Amino acid sequence: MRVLNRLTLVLLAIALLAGGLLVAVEGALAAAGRPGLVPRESWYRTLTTTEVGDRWPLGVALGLGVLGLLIVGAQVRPWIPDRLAIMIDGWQVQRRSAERHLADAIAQVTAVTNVRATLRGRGRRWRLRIRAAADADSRPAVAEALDRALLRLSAPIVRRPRIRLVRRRVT
Amino acid sequence: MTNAANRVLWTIIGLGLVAAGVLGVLASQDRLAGTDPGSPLLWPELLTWWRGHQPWGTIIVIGAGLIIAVLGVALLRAQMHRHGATPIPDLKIVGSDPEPRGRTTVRATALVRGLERDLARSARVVGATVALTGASQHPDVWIRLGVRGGDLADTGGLATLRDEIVRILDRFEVTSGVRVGRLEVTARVVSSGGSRVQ
Repeated sequence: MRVLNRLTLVLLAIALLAGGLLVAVEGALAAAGRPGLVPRESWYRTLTTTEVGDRWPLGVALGLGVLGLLIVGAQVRPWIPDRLAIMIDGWQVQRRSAERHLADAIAQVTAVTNVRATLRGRGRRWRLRIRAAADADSRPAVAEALDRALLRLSAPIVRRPRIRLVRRRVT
Repeated sequence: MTNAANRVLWTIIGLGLVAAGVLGVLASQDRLAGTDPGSPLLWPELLTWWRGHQPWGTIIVIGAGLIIAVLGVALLRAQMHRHGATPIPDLKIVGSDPEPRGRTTVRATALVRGLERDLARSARVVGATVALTGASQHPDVWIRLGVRGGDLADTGGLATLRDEIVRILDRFEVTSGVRVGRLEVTARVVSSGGSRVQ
């Protein structure tokens, strides 16, 4: 969403720039009595003969309203944080890379596979969920590997990380 | 503009569109006081008015177009500054000796690239992106660091990497003569790959 927001705003800025220049050029051409780059006269005729109550102005208004609702909805909805603070002042870790690092560290434990780490929270309040394919007796080793990996990241203390181990499929 | 500022701006634009849509629907359904669904979208006398008010009509249209274009440029520039602050200007150092008075200009990009190279020289760092913002003598420093995840275990984690970054910034202050203001570091742990992770 962050990247999409920035990209669409860049597009909007380019559209404003191009549209503004077009308006200025059209104004100058119209004053000089020269034909414009856009079919000014037919647009003018359409706009002055279409009534507010006609079908397509209603459609445009509905479209704008729905587009606005979609945009507001996408912005107001809570976003998954991109970065989380660690215990070093001024430092943050990129959330996705931290998840991958934690999962990698746990996957080093013998007989533990398919590790998935999900990191949420805000600032120094981390919430962590681990899901892995492993036997139940691997739990202490998994928890220890997780603690060590969190320490390496200078992570804040994660209260009660949820570790879920599912039985491994024997193939 | 920061991500948060972009979010606010899009929310405002979205609310504006909703308002325009609602007013449009109300007007078209004859539910809005002061409007008539039978009236045309555009005032039919506009062309006559425009011809009767030359050259002001042309000046207003060209002026409005240019204002919109300038807004576009301003928005484009704001999107380039991701930290919401302007990058530092070039560093100008005037010599202290009275004769002959020397003047040295250090390009801001040279400072940025120099610091990036010094950071990337660390064995623990994969790549670094630096932004310097604010006053050139006292810049705020924004660093995005790629950190080798495989080495973190052997080298004591991000806490010891911090010590190394502090040393690099000390060196930067000595060579460039600027004093680092606020420091923001975002570490991206780059996994070594080949693990059994989905």
